[in-house]
Amino acid sequence: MSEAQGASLAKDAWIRLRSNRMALVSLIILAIIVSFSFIGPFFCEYKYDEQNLDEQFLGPNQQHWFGTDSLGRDLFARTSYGGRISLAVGFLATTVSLLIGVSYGMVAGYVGGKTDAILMRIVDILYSLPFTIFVILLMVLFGRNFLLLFLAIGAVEWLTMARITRAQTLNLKRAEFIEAARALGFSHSRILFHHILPNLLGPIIVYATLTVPAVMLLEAALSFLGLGVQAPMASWGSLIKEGAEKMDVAPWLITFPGIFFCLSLFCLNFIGDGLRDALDPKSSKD
Amino acid sequence: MNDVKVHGLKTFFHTREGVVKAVNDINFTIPSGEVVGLVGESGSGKSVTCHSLLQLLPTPPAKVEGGEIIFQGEDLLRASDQKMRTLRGKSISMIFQDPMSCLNPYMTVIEQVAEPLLIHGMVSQDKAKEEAMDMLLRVGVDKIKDRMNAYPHEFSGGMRQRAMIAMALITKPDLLLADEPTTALDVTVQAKILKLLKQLCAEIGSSILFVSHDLGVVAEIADRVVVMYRGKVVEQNTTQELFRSPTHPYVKALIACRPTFEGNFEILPTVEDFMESQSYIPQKKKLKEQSNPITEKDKNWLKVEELSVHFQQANHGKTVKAVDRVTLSIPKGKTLGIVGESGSGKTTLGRAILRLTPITSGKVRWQDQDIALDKENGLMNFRKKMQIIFQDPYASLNPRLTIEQTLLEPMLVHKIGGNHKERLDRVVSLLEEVGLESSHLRRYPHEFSGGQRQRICVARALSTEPEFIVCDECVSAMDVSVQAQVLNLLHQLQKARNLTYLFISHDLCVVKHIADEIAVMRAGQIEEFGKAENICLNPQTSYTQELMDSIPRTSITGTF
Amino acid sequence: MTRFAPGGPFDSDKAIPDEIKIKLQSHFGLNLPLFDQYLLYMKNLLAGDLGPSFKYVGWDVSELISLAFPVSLSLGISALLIALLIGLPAGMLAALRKNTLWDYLPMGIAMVGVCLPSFVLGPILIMVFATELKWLPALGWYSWTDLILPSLTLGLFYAAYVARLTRAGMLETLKQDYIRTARAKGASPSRVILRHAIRGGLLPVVTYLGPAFAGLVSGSFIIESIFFIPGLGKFFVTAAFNRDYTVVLGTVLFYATLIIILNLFVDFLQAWLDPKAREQQ
Repeated sequence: MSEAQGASLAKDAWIRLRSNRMALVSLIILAIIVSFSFIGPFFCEYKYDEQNLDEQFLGPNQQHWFGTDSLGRDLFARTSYGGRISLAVGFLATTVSLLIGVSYGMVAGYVGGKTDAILMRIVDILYSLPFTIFVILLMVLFGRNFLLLFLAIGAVEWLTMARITRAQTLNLKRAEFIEAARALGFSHSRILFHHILPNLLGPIIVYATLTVPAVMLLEAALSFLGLGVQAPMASWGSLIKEGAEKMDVAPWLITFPGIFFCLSLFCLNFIGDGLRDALDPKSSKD
Repeated sequence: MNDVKVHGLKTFFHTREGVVKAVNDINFTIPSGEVVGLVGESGSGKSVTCHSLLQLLPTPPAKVEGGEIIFQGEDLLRASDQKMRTLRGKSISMIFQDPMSCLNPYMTVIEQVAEPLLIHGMVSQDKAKEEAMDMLLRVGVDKIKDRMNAYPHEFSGGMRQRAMIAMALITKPDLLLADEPTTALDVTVQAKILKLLKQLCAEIGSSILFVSHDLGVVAEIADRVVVMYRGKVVEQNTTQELFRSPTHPYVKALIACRPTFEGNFEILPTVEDFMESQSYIPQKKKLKEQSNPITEKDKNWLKVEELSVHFQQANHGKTVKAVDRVTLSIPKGKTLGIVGESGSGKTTLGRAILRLTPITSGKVRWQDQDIALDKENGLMNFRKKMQIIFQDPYASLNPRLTIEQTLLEPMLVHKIGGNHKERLDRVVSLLEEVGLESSHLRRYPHEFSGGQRQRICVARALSTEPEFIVCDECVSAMDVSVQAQVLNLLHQLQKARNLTYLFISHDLCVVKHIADEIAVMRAGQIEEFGKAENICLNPQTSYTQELMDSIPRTSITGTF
Repeated sequence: MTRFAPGGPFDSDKAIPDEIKIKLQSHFGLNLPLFDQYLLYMKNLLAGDLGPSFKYVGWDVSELISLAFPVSLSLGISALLIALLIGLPAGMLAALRKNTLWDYLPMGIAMVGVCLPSFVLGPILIMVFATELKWLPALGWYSWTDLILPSLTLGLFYAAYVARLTRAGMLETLKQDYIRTARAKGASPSRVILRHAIRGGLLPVVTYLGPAFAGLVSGSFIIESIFFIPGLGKFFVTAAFNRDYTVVLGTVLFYATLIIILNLFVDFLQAWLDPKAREQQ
């Protein structure tokens, strides 16, 4: 059953997405970046934390395609490794924010009334707080921990997800087909999961795609402040930090991770915009 | 002569799916000082024609492909943007359908009414405001002195439409284009607005092009009528002649298939009937055969006693009595019609009976059981027996489910039919019963037309074998030709299955056509309740009388 | 709350003799029970005293804030000005010339702007304008020219975002029925935009100002550490690293108050623009 409805939704969206050239190109580039991050290490004889003090600050060459850093570590291996961390944080934290945000928003929208008012007031308050402060406090309190990092980011990013889900659920709840379902005596869980959730998928997918780059940006910002992943581990954010410090000596140190990072954000944003147009033809773009 | 001549107008839409010939080679004239009604169902091109006159269509996708519109000796289609701007709002004004969205929410009403005068540099700033106030007084916006700084959202729907009219007529235009100006309004308000519009335009000497889907409304206001069908003009004549002796079968059908107040047919004729055979003559209604007398048990089959539904308003904390101590009864196998204007509580009443809205107090007796107080999960058996059909067939089907899934699900939940095969057979026979085919099973709702979707909704309501169905404005959003088909379907089903209907509508004609008894609602209470014939022929209260008088009558001039 | 975190401000690299440690702790009242510490802190807070810093000996937190905040404020204001002065016109232009070069070009740049994080843009700007062209100073905080690069870095991201919002908001508004009404009155294109469309079109931007203020605060952490600016953000991050409780707590309180005030300001702005919102208040 769910296969058929998924098929129709996905097919429709795919046809529209295909006609959006920017989104399609972005999808291909992103696929390349992802495979670089995950398969890249097999093509490289160096490990990401392998130091070689004889080979400090080598520019890109035959041996080290992206050059080496202050400790003689191979930048190709480190960029690939950093990509894995950055992308993993991006997708995992998005999943966390998705789980929290969608269930929170669905409850608020479906139950409505005072519950909704209170739940959304909380979101409103949290929304206007500068979250880097919150994350910094968390990191200070509980130490620097990879798991905590993406939990914290996920916990921050769920707010918008909750807002979107709640607004959509509220609309759907008023839709006559949901009333019809109630009149037919369907249970709340059947209405929520069988009738409301499938209709939420479109906006959820779109927003999730746009959340991934936002999360990656936040992680990179934290790493840049020295609050993210710690050496010898690396993410694109921490690599950019190292690069920025040695910019005048070894510009390639910021160039390669910077390019990869910005390009991924770029692609993800374009795919998100494309998906929005594809899944919701009424949206405000064009 | 100041006649407006539309000659060979073609407006096409260039969409991704291909070219849509919205208006295809039409000719008509708006004689100076007269009211011309432009009638057609949705998609007939009537609005596009109206917007083409002022070149207000978004281009692309719309494109005027040919023809000419002669206004004061000039061809509007070839006029420059500059020229068009000097005409718009000064010589040709326009009123739109939805007064809610057509007024700028960020500007005061006075500012907006005065704006045309300022745009065309006709008077000074202060004078414009004065004239705007005068004009608002003339269109009947009351207490304008207290509303100097009021924004549109502080006005009621009728008042907003009056403000729109004031805005359109403040420059004393030669031609007024009115695009469905009363469609969003209640009948009593509509009647007042129509009268006002006609009177004001006569005073100013403006001609009107009045676009509407409703033949009745057009008959009320227009001197001439132009009927459009699929982008073409199929017939035009003076109003009297057109209603007395329509020649085109579509026009004949349009006049005949609309339930009229005098109520002539038990089964309404449809457009197909007329289009298929040129010589089709609709059968007069037989007197309702006196069916076997209702037993005492069936008489109070569903009884509503002192039912009240109150809402707490969110921001003011005020209590709104949406339904206030309503007492009704419906005999088995009959139809009770509920008529009322927007805000009268008729929809809330229907939903409260089905327990879709929490009941504040009172009883709903269903075969002598009070179902008003049952716990939600105790309702399962009643849910099965009582169903509802909604107004908007687009919103009442889950877009992610196929028709098969939509119809199977209620049976699964209520454990009707032993196995999948049995249920599937039932789905197919249901589809056939409502006039669809089994080949439609795998399709999604968006692949159907509005009328077909409403048939699917009917099939879904029938899937649990109900005995009672609430029809909540279920034909109100439809074109008259589709409306006739759905009404006929409901009628057939009632006979075949001995169904009981609660038929809610704002349209007294439709209710009169289908209902055995009518309850008129106003401000949450029952104003009048009785046999359909009695209510219509001999209304007891002044409100019901006003409601009757507000209904545009086609049949006065017609032969049917 | 920060008090429960492991580690203390005096567990620093060099071992401090125990007696000095005890003396220091009693000086700052750290030897009192936690609850008493809290009461003391609240009492001082009500008197506008955020307590002394643990690390900057002899400095009060209030003094540190009053010293560092003006720096951050000037950075924030100039970044916001850049965001609005570039973002609004660019977004309007794109909306009005939809699907032309004047739409694609600014929107393409805006997309880059949204994707280019400040910690990449910052070094690039330094490299181009300071290192290569030598037009502007790279780091530090001595004269007004020091303000240009940091506020550009911080502001361009928001300019890009504002441009996207403006475009979407204007397009949405231009689709409304009341715009058609205005055209039917004979209003010229400029009148349609300036008198009818602009209010509705800018509403999303105003709504975004709330989160933008919060974002500017967070952004200042990064910018100030890239450009070595002695602003409040830099203090905060350093204090967080050093577990300088009173500074962390005081700064957070200060930020919270600031954000609340700014959000109130946004609410008023919204009410001024939107008559319906005005009524609800």
